[in-house]
Amino acid sequence: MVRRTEYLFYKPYFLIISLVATSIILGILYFVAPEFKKKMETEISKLIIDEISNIANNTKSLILSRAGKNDVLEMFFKDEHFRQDIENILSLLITKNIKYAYIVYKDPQQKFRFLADGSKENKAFLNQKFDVFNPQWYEVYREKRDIVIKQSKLKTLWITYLSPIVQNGKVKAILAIDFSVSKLLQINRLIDNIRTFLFTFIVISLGLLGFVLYQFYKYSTLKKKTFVDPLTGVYNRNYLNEINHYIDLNLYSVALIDLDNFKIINDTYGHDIGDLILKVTAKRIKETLGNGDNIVVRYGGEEFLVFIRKDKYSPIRVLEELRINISDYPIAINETERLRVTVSIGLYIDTEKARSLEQAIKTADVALYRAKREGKNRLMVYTEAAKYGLYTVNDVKEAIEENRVFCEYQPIVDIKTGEIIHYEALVRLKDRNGKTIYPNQFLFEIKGTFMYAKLTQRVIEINYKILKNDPTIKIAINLSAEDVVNQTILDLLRYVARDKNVANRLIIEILETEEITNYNLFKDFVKEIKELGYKIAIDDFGSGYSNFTQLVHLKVDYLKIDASLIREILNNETVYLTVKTINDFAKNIGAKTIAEFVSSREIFEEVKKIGINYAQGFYISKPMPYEKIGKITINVG
Amino acid sequence: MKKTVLIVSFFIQLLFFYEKAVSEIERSPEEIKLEIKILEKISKDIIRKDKIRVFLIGYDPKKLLRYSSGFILVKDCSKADIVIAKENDKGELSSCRKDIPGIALKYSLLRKDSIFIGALFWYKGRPNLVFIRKRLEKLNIKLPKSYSRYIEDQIW
Repeated sequence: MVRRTEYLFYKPYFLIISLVATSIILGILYFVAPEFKKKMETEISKLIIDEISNIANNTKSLILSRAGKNDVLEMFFKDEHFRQDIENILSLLITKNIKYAYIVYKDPQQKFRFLADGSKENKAFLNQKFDVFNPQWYEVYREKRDIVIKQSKLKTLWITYLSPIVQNGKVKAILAIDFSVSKLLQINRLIDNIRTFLFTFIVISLGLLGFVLYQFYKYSTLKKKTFVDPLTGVYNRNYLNEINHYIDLNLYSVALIDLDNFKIINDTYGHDIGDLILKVTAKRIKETLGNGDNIVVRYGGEEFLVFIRKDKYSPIRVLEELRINISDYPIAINETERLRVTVSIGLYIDTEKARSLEQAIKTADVALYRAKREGKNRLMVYTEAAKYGLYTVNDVKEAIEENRVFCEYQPIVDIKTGEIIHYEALVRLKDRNGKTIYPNQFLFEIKGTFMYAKLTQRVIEINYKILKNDPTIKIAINLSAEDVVNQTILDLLRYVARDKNVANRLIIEILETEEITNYNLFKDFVKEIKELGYKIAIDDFGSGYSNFTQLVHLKVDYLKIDASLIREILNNETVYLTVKTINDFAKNIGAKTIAEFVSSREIFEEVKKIGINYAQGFYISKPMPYEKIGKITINVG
Repeated sequence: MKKTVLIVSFFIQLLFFYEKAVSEIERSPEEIKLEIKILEKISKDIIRKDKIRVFLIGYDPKKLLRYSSGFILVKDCSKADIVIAKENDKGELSSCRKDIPGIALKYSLLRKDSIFIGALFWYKGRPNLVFIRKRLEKLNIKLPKSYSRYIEDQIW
């Protein structure tokens, strides 16, 4: 399963969406805040007005009770004590929020003049004119009711509460209470602070969003540079290492797609055309598999690894479609020529059983090997060996332990003289019922296991015995890249080589494949084997991995031309030329050539015409048990 | 001793400037603008000229010129059409002729000096305008009828 933190890093969509959502929510709050402020202001002003209303009524009651039956207006002018008493009462109203409390009256010229002022400083004088510009002041006289003025132009005042002092049904004066703006400022400050806070968070969110987007962009650019193969535009092996940590294998089928005979295409048409073929193939893979959910990786030179979402696609249908898309539409390599390429595909579906990505790929490789072995240009789905009726590692182990390993021998003849120059020993197993089991049923299953080397040892032992007992026979045995680096096998060969009469009749056929990762070690092995007295043959030469340059230094005795070339020699001009080139090359380095898979007279004649030295194949003789050597007639044309 | 006097006088001045600064801060730009527009209007109604040569005492000339184009500042009071004063701490009024009308920006200045024919000042958070009838008559100034509500027979 993908780890959460890594997921966030590689696919920060969740984080981006969260930040965008946060910014939007905060933005809405930011713009809604002034409306909220208005509502708050209205609610608070209601509370204030209720409070002031009570205060005003109580104050007016006090004033009127102090005036008694006297005219309250006259009392302010006549009775200084009364006025001071009222001013003292008014001064008690002054608080942090009530800025001014005073009493004014309207003179006959409609001017308002002070009667009493509760302020402690800058107190108004009696009868001092007071300019009012709001007509609501006059309204108090007319309506004889309390009026609230919300000040919008005066900076220090918020609300002015005007209450008529009514005596004998007449408005004698107005009690005015100015409510300070400080409360309003507090609200404004609070909302402004909230808005600043929101704004800061919006800026931070957007900043973070920008940072994440920038990092994502940088990561994507870097990812493209690091993880994308510049030639084909698909991911490279670096990406495989990257996703190895977090890919959920249960979600994907794994397939390996290999371009058939790519080495020949490269050698024949040059690297530019080879690159073009790779590019077009990658494009077709991408087009067929879609860009979104599936992953395409250039796994090797001409090998692509693909991960197909099981829950969204049928991998068999998709890959079969891909195979047809590639094989049925030849690629235009220039204005006049089109080249038909094919792919072999190995598919592993039951990936939930795989312990690791590496194992899943290896399993897909097993299926790919089978696809190649079955004749290429096909899709093979991996199935457990037992389901194929194949031998497992354990079966091979038991066969070795129970001496059920033996060899069959296929003669290799001199094309000119018809003389058998030697036999190739081909390993077989016998099941418990005595039925012969062929290598295609067990060899690949034991590849990469120690059983492979055990089997090779057994083959060497069997043939050593034969060579010792039969001084006339010459035998070739096969060693793989795995055997070459196996110390036990090397020691065994050293032991056998002590008998010079045996060593000089044993030919070691080595498969030169891409699995030889350390070419120097390979060279050292070949050198030592030659020094021990063995002859060396390079098997399946021309199959795609042969290294012409290195072979010059190896001084091999035989080059066995790969069966896939010989099989096509009559039908394909390119293959014919390739075989001819290999033959010429072999002559130049002093090696004899052997044509494998000579299955018909026509092929025999063709290879003879080219000048190949020796031939091997069903046309000459099928492999036979050792006991039948010399008793079966062979065809030498 | 001299040092102490200097320090105390420094703090007194500091307090003075602080009070001044605070009173300036209290006025919003709208209020300042309103104040200057009123000053321009009444000056023009008193002098009856489009461009008034004004001598300022304790009033920020930049502020005046920012909100009004009807004033020309003069540095010599004798060349002024009108005096606008917020204070008279340094006795600048003494350089002015007695027939030059003055507008006080504090009620206390109107009470103190008879050069001021009227005052424009902020009281209970509101602008107040007062003219003294006798002082207007002395300088033979006749204001439009709309001013009648601001003209007082006596100083309170």
